[in-house]
Amino acid sequence: MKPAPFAWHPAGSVEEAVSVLSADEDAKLLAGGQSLLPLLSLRLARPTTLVDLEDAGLGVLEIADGDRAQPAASGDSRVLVAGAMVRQRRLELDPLVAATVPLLADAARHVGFPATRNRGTLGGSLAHADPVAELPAVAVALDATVVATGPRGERRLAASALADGFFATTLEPAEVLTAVRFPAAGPGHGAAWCEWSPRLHDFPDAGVGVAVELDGTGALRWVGAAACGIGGGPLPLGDELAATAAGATEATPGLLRAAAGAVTAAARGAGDGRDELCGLLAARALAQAFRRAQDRQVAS
Amino acid sequence: MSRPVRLTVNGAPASFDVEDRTTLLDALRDELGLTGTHAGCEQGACGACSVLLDGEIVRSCLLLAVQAGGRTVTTIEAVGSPGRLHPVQEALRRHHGLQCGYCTPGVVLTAIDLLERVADPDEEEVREALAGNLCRCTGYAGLVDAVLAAARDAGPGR
Ligand code: FES
Ligand code: FES
Repeated sequence: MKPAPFAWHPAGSVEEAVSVLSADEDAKLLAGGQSLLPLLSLRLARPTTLVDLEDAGLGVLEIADGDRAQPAASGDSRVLVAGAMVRQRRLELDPLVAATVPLLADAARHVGFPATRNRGTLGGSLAHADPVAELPAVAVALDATVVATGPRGERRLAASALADGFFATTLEPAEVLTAVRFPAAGPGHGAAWCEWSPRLHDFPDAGVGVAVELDGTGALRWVGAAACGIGGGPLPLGDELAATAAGATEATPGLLRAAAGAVTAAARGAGDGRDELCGLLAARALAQAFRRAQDRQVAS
Repeated sequence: MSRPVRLTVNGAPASFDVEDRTTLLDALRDELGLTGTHAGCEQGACGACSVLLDGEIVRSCLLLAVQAGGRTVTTIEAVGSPGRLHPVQEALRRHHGLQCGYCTPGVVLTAIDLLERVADPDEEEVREALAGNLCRCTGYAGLVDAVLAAARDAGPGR
């Protein structure tokens, strides 16, 4: 028997989960369990109660109207609402995700293995806040909104305000992350996730996600980007890439070189040459995102 | 404190009483005697404990037994028989895809899961699907050859 004893509490609703968490500060949430079970088995985590969110109604995946008058990320004003319990495998394979938030689908296929993606969830990944995790960086790159419910009701926060250093978030102890709202891709949208891991599908040393949107003339009008593996949480890179790539119509060698330089400078301080690795990955992701955006424009 | 769990294992109803902290891996082995599901790392890294949950590949060491209540689990015991191997097992035998056999149950179920979804995978798809299954004996080339051969032998439109 590897984990220390705990009580399993399947919650039938988010409210029920919140009330269990409120009553017991050593209770923890169980989403997909693909990071938590190893921690339990190693006894690095010893919760009194595991509140299972499986049946709490957090499996929604649908398009909804956006909440911002002028979403920064997109020429489309809608959002993809993904419930916290949506499996990573579904993010990878569901055509709705590929069509509306292609960066999410592209990154999801790098998370763990098919066997862990069948269980692992979007919300679990964001709440666990592993600094090398892909999905928190995707949420930051796209300026997504995180929805959380606690004892005082529901609130929304920017994905960039969720991370709080290594394996830590700004969620309150009794709050449940319920959904993530991703801006939907507009017509000139293209995205790519690139990462480097010494072994296929192992944790990456670093990864970078880039999404771009081209205007009707094919010039870059918006870019969002973020890295994982650099420091304690997702590193936003949108400003660096916008400064080098705004208005560009082609991912020229000069542009890619400038982008790599800007990102390397932003990641400065990451050990083992990871800053330069991050720059290379960003250049590669930018080039792919550009090509996919152009293909999408031709197709539409 | 234990709790009763009822589920379907290899096509038949099964039940046991376990503590909440018991993993599905331990319950399969200790409560049901299904020791074909192997315990390797017991922390999600090796794939030896892979089983199908409602038809999808999962790691039984990363699941609590209580989470499997009401669900359907398929273990290696339901795949082939000594006289009549499953095509994936037969291909592993022919292509030297196993030596000690410790990783093999997980490899077989992972390959079956892949071939369910992709009837005609290329080498890269096979390597990607098997990337989470560690084998300390074969050096992997035999595993990859075997899965490709199993797909080929099954032919298109299986
Ligand atoms: S024993 Fe489950 S992955 Fe190793
Ligand atoms: S055959 Fe020995 S570990 Fe794979």
